[in-house]
Amino acid sequence: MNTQLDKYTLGFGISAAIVILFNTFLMIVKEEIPLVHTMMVALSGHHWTSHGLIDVTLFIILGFLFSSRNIKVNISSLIITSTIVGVLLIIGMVAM
Amino acid sequence: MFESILLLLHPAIAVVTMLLVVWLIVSLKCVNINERRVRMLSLSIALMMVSIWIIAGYWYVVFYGVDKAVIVKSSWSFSHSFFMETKEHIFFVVLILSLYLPLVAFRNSIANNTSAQKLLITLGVLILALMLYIDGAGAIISHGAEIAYMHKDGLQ
Repeated sequence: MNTQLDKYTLGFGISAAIVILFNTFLMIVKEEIPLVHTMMVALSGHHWTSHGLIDVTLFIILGFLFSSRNIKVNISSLIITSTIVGVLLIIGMVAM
Repeated sequence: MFESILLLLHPAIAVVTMLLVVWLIVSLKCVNINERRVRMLSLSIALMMVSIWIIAGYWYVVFYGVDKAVIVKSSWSFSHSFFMETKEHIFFVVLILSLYLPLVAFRNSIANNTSAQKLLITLGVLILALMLYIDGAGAIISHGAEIAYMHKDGLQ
């Protein structure tokens, strides 16, 4: 049995963990800074559309960037942690 | 009519996607893992999630504004202010995890790699849990709109 993950799996895994946290950060920034919200509306016509496009674009760019580096991490743990933190922060921010 | 089709289509696709995620998790728990099936399921989940993004996104951007204006003035305003606000941002977490699925499935030899199997199961469980929340939130928003329109308390 092999336990070694391919370099793109590692690179895009790190990227996914970062983008999940960035997604929450962008939500907070656009809610708190009206200029950012206005710019995101101007980008695609709706802040939500821009939000998704920024997230996916960043996921692809960071994925290729991290794939070219030799990084060893436990991807499953990293993604579980970032998902829990990201989602709880979204819920917390909206509830406040 | 077109608006209603879009509104009903996106949770329907979401339910089918959730079933595919369950199938993926079960497939990875089999003694003899069918690598081709795992790859096809992973790809299908990613494609269906992109279709939900487009269909639900179009409905949300084009049509939801009218309902939102009524819901936020009603006694069920929390169905927008809490559930829609969390749902629309948690969806992007699910989208990123779903886009990552086929990459893991196609770039690794799944049948012989325990780390890749564990990672795919982790992604599947996270996607499933968040989709269940999103689905529940959608039901609450729908009920919020129903109450707002039926009781007319959002139209005053």
